[in-house]
Amino acid sequence: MTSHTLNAHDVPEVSARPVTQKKRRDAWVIGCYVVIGVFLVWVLVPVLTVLVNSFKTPSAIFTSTPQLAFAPTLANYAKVFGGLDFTHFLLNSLIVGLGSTALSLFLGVPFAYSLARLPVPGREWWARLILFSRMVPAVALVVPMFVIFQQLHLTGSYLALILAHTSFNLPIVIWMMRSFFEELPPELEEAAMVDGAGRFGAFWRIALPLTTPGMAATAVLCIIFSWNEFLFALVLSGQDTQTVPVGVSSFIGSVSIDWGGSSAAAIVAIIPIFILGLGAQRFLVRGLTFGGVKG
Amino acid sequence: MFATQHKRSWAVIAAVALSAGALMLTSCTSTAGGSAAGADPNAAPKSAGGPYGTFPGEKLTLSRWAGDPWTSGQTQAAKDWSSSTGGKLTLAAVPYENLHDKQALSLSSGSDYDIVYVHPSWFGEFAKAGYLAPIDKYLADPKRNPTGFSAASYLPNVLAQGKYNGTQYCLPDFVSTIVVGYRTDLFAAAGLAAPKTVSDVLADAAKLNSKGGTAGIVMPGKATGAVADVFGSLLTAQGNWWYNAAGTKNTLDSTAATNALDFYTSAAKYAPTGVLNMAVDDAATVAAQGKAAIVVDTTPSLSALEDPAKSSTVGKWGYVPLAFDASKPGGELIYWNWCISSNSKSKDAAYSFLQYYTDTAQQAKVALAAATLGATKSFYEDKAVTSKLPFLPAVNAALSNSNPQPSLASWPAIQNAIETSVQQAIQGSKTNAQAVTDMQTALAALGK
Amino acid sequence: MSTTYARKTWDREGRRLGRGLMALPALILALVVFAPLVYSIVLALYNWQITQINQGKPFVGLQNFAKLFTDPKVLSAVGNTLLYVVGSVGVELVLGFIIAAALFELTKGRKLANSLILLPMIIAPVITALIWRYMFDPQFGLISQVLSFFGVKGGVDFLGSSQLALSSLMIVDIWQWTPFVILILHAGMLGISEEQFEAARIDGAGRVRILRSIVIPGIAPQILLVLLFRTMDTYRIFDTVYVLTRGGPGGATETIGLYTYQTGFSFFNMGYAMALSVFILVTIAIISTFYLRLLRRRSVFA
Repeated sequence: MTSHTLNAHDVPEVSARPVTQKKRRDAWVIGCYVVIGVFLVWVLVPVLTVLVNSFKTPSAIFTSTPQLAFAPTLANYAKVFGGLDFTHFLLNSLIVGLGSTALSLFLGVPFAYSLARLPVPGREWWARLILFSRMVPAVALVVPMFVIFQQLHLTGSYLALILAHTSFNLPIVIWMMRSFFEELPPELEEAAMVDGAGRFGAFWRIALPLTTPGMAATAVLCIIFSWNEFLFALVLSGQDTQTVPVGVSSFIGSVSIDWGGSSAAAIVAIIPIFILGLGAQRFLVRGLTFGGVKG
Repeated sequence: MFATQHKRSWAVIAAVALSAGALMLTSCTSTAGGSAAGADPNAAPKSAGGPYGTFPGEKLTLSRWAGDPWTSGQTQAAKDWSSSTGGKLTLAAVPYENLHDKQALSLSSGSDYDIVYVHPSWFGEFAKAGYLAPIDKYLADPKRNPTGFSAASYLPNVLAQGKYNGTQYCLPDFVSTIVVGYRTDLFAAAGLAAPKTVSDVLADAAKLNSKGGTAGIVMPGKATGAVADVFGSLLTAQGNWWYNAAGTKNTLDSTAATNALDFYTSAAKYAPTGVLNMAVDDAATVAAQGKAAIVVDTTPSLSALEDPAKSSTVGKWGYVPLAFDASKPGGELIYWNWCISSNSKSKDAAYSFLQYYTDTAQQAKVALAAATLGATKSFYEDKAVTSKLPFLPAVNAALSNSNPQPSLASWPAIQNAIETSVQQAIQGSKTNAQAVTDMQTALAALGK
Repeated sequence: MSTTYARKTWDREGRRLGRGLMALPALILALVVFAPLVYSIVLALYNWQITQINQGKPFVGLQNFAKLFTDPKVLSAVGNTLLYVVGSVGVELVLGFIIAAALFELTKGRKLANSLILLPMIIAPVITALIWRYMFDPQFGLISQVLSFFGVKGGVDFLGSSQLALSSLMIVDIWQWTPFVILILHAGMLGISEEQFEAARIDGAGRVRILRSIVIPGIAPQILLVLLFRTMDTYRIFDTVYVLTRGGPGGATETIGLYTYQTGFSFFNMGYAMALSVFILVTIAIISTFYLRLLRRRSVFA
């Protein structure tokens, strides 16, 4: 066990390379910058195209030659927030995303700890079952789920969507958190138990705080998956609980796609989650490093 | 000591269960709409052409797809209806691709929708399942309709599509078909006359292909239903159709199918790159941006050609129907059905909107905004509107000999097989003869 | 208190706590995954449409499952899907490794690069599909327009030709999910202890050798994890395919996920769609078991 796993705030930065290789290193590092640069162009150009399109009129989007100079319009954004009331979709996505992430963590973290640490019978089988539950195609789940939720009078409620998204987020939480807990040196918890903390105390006061970065990383992934989910959000939502992906699809009609409107909606859908990603990026990398995500 | 730890974990679990329960409770508080005091379904409209009846406080939900030019028109109509009758009609829109599933599931659970906008391909399925309410008595009731308005006010062949086992369930609108658009300026410059038959279309497309960067012809090639619509129109123009009147037997004639497929595969040679992935709107956009001399497409999509916001070729288009024999054009009748959910607690109010929206005055607005035609006879006599629809003569000519868009539950799977066969014939991975045989095989699933 | 005695109490207490902590999650998981799954397996025994969900349905026994083995579309769809899985996941892994290794070398701007690289991964598939439908458009799309600048006139038929369509869909998957691979592999690389690098440097190992003998073995678990999750997800793909090509042209891009979705929701044959879902589940489970075997024998990578 290396020391950095003990201290979550101390993720090793890559240290300087040996001086003897300085010349070669420069060429190598420049090469790395070039590779990253090219990759960034590949990643960003499609997104920037959408950003530019969101300020274009329909006829400016479909031109024979690329137009860099065009008269920008805010009409597409007016459609998104005026005609469609996109704030409502954003709010719904936020409620469902946070709800399902919170629920998944709440249920998944203790479960993962039990699998990692407690002498539970059939631990391996439980782990397999969790992975298996992540493999079920959404098409197989969505219609039966609709019927079950209908019996429980849940269809159209936020809880229906939160539970549905928990179906794919809970396995992720359990799978990831289990490896984080396994990575902790057991001596810490044992020491706490010798001091009379009890099993639960060892989990609650020792293991849980130490895995906070891992939990943050897991939470970010859960929110992203929930934010982008479409099929459950469509079938199980009511008119008042539709989420962002359903809202974006509203611009794809039967005989026409509103390219300007859908581009603006796409940008509006991307921005909140991108900001979250920027803010959480530190946690994401640190959390995943810390756990050393293992199978 | 151990016990307290243990209690704590149970307390946590209990807290979760409680909060879940609380969420569940809040989800159950939605109220059901019902007829309120002061409602009079027989009240005459407040102004001429307005909706019948007053329904103060009644809440209705209308299910339709999201997007497209019809949205704004329907939103406005719902608003006007609400302010005139005192009710409140809300539009519930979901993405078009998922409209059927959403409606089917919602109606099966007995909730939500009062008015449903139903596509032919699932009308039969819904009627059979008992999801739709009969409207015969409303349609025959003089107190619920304007003077002289009755079933006879609709185009009989279109209205008949809303019938299931002899009962009328729906009122139609969205009348449209497949026609040919051609660039009058390019034709004049090349000294060509307006095409009269599909062989003219092919010959002209060949001559105009890749002149000045335009393709000869463009049409939908993606398997979204439009390929089968075009193909069905080509069959209709030859007096043939996929199946018999009962929808139980394959009647596809090999010669007619081969002719239609020959047209499709030949036309694809003069089509722009990517034609096999073009839906109706993609084909129309290509034409509107001046990248094709001829376009074969549905009329609602063709409205993009005349829309200055989307087209660089406004006013440069002429329209003719599809025909093999110039004296006998034909086309598939495309339409939609407005129906009332059998679960609705506001059927009177729902019918009021159906009548109001499918009648000539509202349909005239829709026609100007979105290029679909009304299903009432008087719509076609309204010169103020018809004079503004450049493709109307071609549509009328095509629909004088028409087959309605298939409305069999087995159709979507067959349609997919047909469209795949057309694509494979165009790609050359299948001969035309093989493709026709495959269509026949797919049609054998009829009535099963 | 002797240690053996302590261990025994800990074990007893641990078992009890385990039951307490696992009961509710297991219950919820049963509600949202296993109850619907069992229900869908039952529903696969009937011949029904979505409108019959709350009505009587004709019982057909194992007929829907038997049909799996005679339906020629299943075979071609599985073929397309396997090509898609191997192509997408293969490129994602190699490209992801290269970028993650390059990121590892950056001293300045790594955080910024990292944040921007993650962008495709946070975009909803429906938006991704719209973005690429526009990018790939032979008439108006950016790629064809740039190519025409270099003399390729008339546009490239990315989605409308059976030679290119499946590869074009893979490009979309690679664009969207390589960032996920980078994220996990990069994190794995940061987790390798500095002592190992130093030891290698003292031995005079070059960069390529460090990559080969330290980095790759060091992130073997992450590589297998990425393989497992990407394989599971690409094998079920249907949303981007549905928007971009709808299985066309001529069935060239029909994947098993798309065929399942269309069977249930477009062709109104829910019973068969449920049987197809079970087929997908069983085949992924088999593939994953294979991966899990590798995962347990990590030494193969060392």
